[in-house]
Amino acid sequence: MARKKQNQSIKNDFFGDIQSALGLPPDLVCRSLFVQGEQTVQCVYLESMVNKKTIDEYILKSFTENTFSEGEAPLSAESGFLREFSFSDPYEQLREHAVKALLAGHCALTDFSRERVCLINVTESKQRSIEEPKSESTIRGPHEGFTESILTNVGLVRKRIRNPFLRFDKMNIGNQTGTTLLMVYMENLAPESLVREVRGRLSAIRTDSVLESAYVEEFIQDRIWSPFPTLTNTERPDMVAAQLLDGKVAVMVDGTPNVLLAPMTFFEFFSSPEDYYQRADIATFIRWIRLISFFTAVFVPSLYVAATTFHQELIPPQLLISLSAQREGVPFPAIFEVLLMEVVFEIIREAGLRMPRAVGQALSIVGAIVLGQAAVEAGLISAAIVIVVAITGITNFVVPVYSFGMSQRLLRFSFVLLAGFMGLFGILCGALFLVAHLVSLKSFGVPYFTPASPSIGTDWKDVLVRLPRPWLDPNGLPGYIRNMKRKR
Amino acid sequence: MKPMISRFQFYLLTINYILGTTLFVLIGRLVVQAGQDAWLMPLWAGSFGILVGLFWIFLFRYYPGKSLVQIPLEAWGRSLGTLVSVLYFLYFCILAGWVLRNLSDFLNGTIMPETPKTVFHVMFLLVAFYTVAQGTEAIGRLNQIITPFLFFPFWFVLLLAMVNWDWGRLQPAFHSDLGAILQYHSFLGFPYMETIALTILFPLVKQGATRPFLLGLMTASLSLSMTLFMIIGLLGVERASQLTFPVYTTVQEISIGEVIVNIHSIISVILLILIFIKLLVLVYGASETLRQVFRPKTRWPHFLGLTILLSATALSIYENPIQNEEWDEKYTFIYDSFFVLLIPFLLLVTTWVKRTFEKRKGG
Amino acid sequence: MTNRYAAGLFILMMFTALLTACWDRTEMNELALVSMVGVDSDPESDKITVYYQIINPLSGTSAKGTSGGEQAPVYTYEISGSSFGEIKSTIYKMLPRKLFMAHCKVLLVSQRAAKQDMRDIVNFIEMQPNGRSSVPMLIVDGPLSQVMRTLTPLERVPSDTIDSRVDLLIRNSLLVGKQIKVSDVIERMEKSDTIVLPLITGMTEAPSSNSGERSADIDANQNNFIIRGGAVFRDYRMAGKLNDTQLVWYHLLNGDRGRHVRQFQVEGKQVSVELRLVRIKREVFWKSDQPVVRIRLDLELSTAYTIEFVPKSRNEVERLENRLNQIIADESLAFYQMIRERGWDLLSINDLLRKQTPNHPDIDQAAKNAQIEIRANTRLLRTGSMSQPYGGTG
Repeated sequence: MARKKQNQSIKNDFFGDIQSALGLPPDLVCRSLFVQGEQTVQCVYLESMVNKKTIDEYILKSFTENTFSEGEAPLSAESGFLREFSFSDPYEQLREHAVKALLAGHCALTDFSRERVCLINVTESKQRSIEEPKSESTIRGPHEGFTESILTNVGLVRKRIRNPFLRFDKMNIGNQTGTTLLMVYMENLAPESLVREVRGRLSAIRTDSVLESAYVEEFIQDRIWSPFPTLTNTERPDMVAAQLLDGKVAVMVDGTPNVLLAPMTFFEFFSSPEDYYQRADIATFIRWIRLISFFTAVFVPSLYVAATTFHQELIPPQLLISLSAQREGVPFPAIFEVLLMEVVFEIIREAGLRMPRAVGQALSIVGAIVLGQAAVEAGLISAAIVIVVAITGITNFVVPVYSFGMSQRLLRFSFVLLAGFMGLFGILCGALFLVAHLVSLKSFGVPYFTPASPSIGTDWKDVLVRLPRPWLDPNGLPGYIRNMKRKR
Repeated sequence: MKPMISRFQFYLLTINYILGTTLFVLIGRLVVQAGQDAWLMPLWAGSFGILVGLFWIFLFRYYPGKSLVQIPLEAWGRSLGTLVSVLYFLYFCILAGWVLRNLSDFLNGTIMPETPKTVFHVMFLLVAFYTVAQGTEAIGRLNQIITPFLFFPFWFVLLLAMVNWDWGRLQPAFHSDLGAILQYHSFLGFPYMETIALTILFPLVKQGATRPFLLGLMTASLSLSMTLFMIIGLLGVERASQLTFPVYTTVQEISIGEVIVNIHSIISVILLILIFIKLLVLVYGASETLRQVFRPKTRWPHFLGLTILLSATALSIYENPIQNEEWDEKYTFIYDSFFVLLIPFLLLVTTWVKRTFEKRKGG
Repeated sequence: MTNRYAAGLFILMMFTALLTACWDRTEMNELALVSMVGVDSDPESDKITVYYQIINPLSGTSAKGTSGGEQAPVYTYEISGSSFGEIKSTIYKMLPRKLFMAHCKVLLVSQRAAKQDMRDIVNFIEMQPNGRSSVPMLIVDGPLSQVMRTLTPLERVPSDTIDSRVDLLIRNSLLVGKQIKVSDVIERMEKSDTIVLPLITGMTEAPSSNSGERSADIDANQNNFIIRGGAVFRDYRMAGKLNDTQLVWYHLLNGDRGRHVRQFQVEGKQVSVELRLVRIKREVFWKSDQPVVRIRLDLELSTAYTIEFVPKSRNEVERLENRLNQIIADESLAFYQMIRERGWDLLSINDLLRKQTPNHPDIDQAAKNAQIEIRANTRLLRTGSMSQPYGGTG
């Protein structure tokens, strides 16, 4: 009897308890239903997280309109989106569950007569509509992009792969944020060892918060000390679908449109989903342009420094004469000029990202005229440097994956320093170091530099060239994925 | 699982190791020795190299899965074996010092006359040790990635030089003193007998190292022979024998139109990378010897120590190239023979004695 | 963990040691771009004089848009000393920038220096770390300083003018051969061959060194130099000269393939034909212990520049060809006799015999006694755009 009394007081206090647990939030709503003067049902939810229409029409209406026979439950537990707790359970646990559920967009329904609490999912998170991803726009191909809502994203992937083997493994990571993560893979295509590895790394994450997929990326990448990304992120569902069909694993994080993909190899950063939406010859040509741009972006400033300050004999005589005429009267050494202009360029770029769009025009004028032309005319820098910086700046954006472009920038600066100190020898040492690093790097057990080394012959069909579809393997998994599956 | 390198990778490694410093240290000297028939020398020296290689392989058959430094440990016991391994370690160090010194001499003599030698040494050593620290696979893969960038530009550049070709320079063929050619024994020592450093990798090659090693020796000899052939045809015996770096000069003199002038930097980059690969194998040999004999827990202090040791060795290994040349002509063969022929031979004898003894015991 | 930090720190410290590098760093505007080198030596005082012609980068297009039209395109520095090594250091008494030899295009040697000994000169060129020995070498007939101080019309930089003139002459005439580079000189001299290098002569006694004045003058023959004749070299010494007529035969017999136009007297008529060597074959026979060298020349004829007479029938063509064969064989044989009298082995018969019979005891003597047979075989392959030159009715 004492127990019952206690429960009664708890029941009366339930709303107050939750209110204090959440710290009196302004969007907490409690609605009570009185049938025949007696409080039968109390419904608690966070107004900002739920779809009120659902609550009104499907839950509360059923209490007010229907006349229940005694003992019949207005809601049945089988409906799936409902979890039921009894007040006879330990109260602390009950409250914790309820709070968590409320934060996830459930509503808590206390049924006084039957002494239980139902948690019903009525989530409707505020989200924007599906738009074209700004950072990865294409000419041809789908223009849909992921949104911040993970369910929408799941739908976008499902729409493309209608296959029962498509798996979504759910986990919650982040002690404070409790973010939902989905590990997506094709059970019949992805190698088991890979799936196990990704799952292992994900569940080993110990962190307070996950607000973006980059949080996860830093935890599960193979090596911290590397400028190269071993995972890629994309906002394009078609890219994710293509990679899933290649046997890879995607990680979706709730609250961000960026989906992680693993494993990634070096050469895959040069291919983009658009390659497959175009004729093979054009795609091959563009792929070569990307490779050339990579080398240009990384090496041109350093080669310029090396050639003009150490190995002038490399420059054809006529060019050397005009370059040295340009340098006449320039006060700084060439390496300093290059570093200065590169830094200035990076600043302009960073400013361009943050600045209100209306100021953009002004900035480009300042950048182009003041920093380019005026600096040359004032004799601060030589004209050739402006060309060098412009070329590297433009080629930097050619690589389809933004994070890979970032690593190019880092490399560029270190190569410029090396070239400034040791000329070509410095660049050579840097390049050897880079190759040594690249060949030893691994992405989830896959050597980063495959298929170049270790070489996988069949994969060459889709690296430096993109062969026409009919010539590619019809169920073409990448060679390293096949190897992983075989090893199992 | 042991890190493994594939057969093809080992094959490429063998070639690049042999070509390593040879391409620019030895070409001039070989031409001095044999005149217009110098291109024959790598062929017979290569066949000698293959014989020596077969000899090692014969020894390794008795100790499957064991490396060069583990064999003495097993055959002669811990103390004597350790001593021999340390000898090998020092041998690798001295070879590496030599390679580094050749590198800095080359750079000082051609493109960077004023930079101190130590800078070159330390830079290359840092990169080499970084690679070694990444493991055996990294060495094989690095070499595999780089080889096409060596092979194609090298022959392409030499082909560009063909504008200066003259068959007359190679005549009369087969007319030099063949006896003198055969007597030039230091060519056997360097580079062929130095390939013993590659045997450290023998147990790590998938499906056996025998064939790639011998094929690599053959290919490298053929490439050397081809290069000599072209150098003589392009420069002539008179100049090739007097210049310090004939390959470099050949390319330096290419001028096709206004654009393709002074492309010798390409050849210097190729030569530098070849030297790097040779250095890499030697450094790997030295550090691996230490690891296999003393089994340290952390390896970076060794790398650091070796960097300092090797850069000092390189600086003091000879005072001037004249000393180096004299050493090379008089003592290289004997010096190398001690490590390459004598010790393996003694090991083989011990093994035979042990085996027969055990058989008798067992029987 | 502390150890790892220590290691990292140590490596960083090593890197800082590298940061002090830049030993070989030279900015482009610290370089003196040498375009031409002239070498002279006085046999009496044993003094060596080197002229460096250095490009003035500002004379061309300038970065700041100001035209450097008033400035001289090149400056000539003259420095003398007792050895070449010394000059390398003492040049900086006058020159404010670092000598940069890699783009040097021409080497000029004065005639009096060439007559003494050229060994030092070629070694001097070959020894330089960033210099190339694939530059053409020309001998100056007359005072070297005059040529070094001549500003040439059209090509602003004098070395460019020499370089392109030599190229054009190699292609369009037989007056200059291909093997005139320093490296060729070394190779042929080491083989104790005899070679011919082009001669260059200044055209005015006191050239104007003011570029403004120079570029305002219409007469390109004023203040210029001319490539004319050849200097014969034996054992690194200049032994004599060849005139332009002899040069043609020399280059033809040495396998140069320039298209040369020359006038021949055929059946009492003057005919200018263009010759081009297609193939040269040299064979050695031994006739009673004496070598006989048979040279066979296959030549391609063109009447593209024939303004006097164009053969019309097959018969006429054959007659022209036969006649030319005869003239070429005779004249080149006469040329050979001339050089043999002077003791010049300009056809490298010595080398030829050595290659054929490396074991012959006395090659020099055999080469001297060698008999020469020259056979020419010409074929008319191209005619001009006129089937018959205009000549009126007469």
